Amino acid sequence: MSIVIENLSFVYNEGTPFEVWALKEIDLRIEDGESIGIIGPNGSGKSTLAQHLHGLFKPTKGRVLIGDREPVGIHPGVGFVFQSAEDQFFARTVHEEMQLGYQNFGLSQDQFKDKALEALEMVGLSADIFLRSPHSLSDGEKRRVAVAMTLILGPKTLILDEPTLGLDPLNAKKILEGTKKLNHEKGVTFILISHRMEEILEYCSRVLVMDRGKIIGDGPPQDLFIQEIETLIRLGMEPPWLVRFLTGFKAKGYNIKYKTLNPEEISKGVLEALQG
Amino acid sequence: MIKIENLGYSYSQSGGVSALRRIDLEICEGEFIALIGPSGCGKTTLAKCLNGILTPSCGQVLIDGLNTASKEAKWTIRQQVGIVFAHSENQLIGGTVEEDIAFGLENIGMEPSLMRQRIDETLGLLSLEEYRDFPPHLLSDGQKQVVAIAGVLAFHPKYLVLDRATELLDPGAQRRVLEIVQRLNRKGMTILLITHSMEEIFLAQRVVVMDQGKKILEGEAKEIFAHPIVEGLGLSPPLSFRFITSLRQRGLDVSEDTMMSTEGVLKAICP
Ligand SMILES: Nc1ncnc2c1ncn2[C@@H]1O[C@H](COP(=O)(O)OP(=O)(O)OP(=O)(O)O)[C@@H](O)[C@H]1O
Ligand SMILES: Nc1ncnc2c1ncn2[C@@H]1O[C@H](COP(=O)(O)OP(=O)(O)OP(=O)(O)O)[C@@H](O)[C@H]1O
Ligand SMILES: [Mg+2]
Ligand SMILES: [Mg+2]
Repeated sequence: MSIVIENLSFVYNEGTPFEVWALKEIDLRIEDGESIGIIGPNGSGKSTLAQHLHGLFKPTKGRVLIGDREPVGIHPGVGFVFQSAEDQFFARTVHEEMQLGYQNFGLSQDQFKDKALEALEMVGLSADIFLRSPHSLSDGEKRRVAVAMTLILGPKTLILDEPTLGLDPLNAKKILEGTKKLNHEKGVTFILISHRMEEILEYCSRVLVMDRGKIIGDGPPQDLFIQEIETLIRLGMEPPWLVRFLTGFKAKGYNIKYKTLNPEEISKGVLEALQG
Repeated sequence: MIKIENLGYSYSQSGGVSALRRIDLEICEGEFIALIGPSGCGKTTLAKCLNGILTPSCGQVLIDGLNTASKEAKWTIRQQVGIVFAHSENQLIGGTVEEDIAFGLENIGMEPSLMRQRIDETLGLLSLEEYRDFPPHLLSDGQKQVVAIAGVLAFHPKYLVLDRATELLDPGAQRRVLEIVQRLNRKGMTILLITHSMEEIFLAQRVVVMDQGKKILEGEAKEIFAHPIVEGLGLSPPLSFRFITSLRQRGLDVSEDTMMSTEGVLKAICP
């Protein structure tokens, strides 16, 4: 299920003094199974774009095709985890909360339990959590339940809008590894909006850079972070420390080979380069 | 000075489970302290005890000798201790950005001319001038949070507590805010930075680590990662720190203190 965006523009508060063109003439094609990161300054339009990818917003101009069709309302194949989805928890138990979410999508109840357990396991939670009140959970647990509630719907495309915001490193990792596995093993399209450049580098093979409603950069993060380093720094999207270091090291005439941004591997390369 | 003595706190709703247990901590004037620990370990609860939003269940908190539990002291303490929370952005109330900042200042009875001056200064400091007359609810979440930070800085609090206050901001805005905070600290403001970013803690002179309501460790950033207990909490050192440690192990002379800047490391290793 590819997603195609043609000449998309979107305006908030049209015709008022506070009119904002949040998206300006965007063209974009997302293939099945891609893992995409979206970065950009505050207010650059990331969340607004994401809302169009699952049909919640209607374009002001242009069109969005999800699997060759313009969506009518929210597209069932696209799972969207909002920034603070857990603020809307209201049931007495996690079990009830997840079941209600599931019913809302009109899915059959027979497989609910198996699917729910599978989804919880994906994000590192065990069945024990079923009986607890959603309000008694820690932030990290709440966020993971919210992600699991989206996973159980079996989305073909998964959009995560700053999923690790507010989470400690351990919880952040559990969510990203769990969802990324779906991309890896089941080919689910993975779209991650994040201000943490390390996450984009680690979990995405393509990154879109947004600035004032436009996509101004598009490519594999490990290349784009190096090639576009000046633009990114100007926008305040500083690439990870090691990328900045390697750029500076290169400018001093040293080139080193590395497969991943592993600090130990790179330090070895640095030593070899220095020794000629 | 902030003196936290044998501080305990239990939320009645969570079945009397202690969110804070016997915490002792002193924060001296002009210090820059970072506070870290897993989600739910009690960091926000501790912050709320510092300006009297929460009253200790046991022990006490003294701000320059004033007890936060005393009703009479609360007014003074609220002006001394400014706290920005992670989601202060959804508490904006003014019709415009300027009004929102003014509202907080009016509340503490600041006189209009000084208020004017503080608003101009803070809008300038955080590059918010162009949004002065903008309704806050039409800003993106990150932009709103910057307004919330402005609202607290305009007070000129003596003690500034940032409880994950920058995480909604884009990296550039985060860096700008942290630079401002460092500058204010050099001018004497005392800082308590609560964060999940293991890079940010290198800005602090001292790092306090909490787990399950207790203070479990205290030390300089470069020391605390040597403790196995910290790794066990999932708090692993930033890649830059691991990189520098690895360079040192390979015999290169790089100080851990350079780790905030790539330039410092390049200078140290390139002939
Ligand atoms: N509900 C709204 N009403 C009016 N304007 C809005 C609304 N939501 C967003 N905007 C404006 O649209 C633009 C894009 O906002 P958007 O939320 O898409 O940005 P973002 O890139 O997700 O930012 P952030 O990193 O802060 O989450 C901003 O200028 C913002 O002020
Ligand atoms: N209003 C409340 N009522 C009941 N229990 C609460 C309340 N607020 C927090 N708690 C509980 O107190 C403990 C400490 O929570 P606190 O918010 O201080 O943690 P934290 O360290 O700030 O976590 P995070 O990193 O997620 O912000 C947790 O177990 C939490 O569930
Ligand atoms: Mg957003
Ligand atoms: Mg907290």
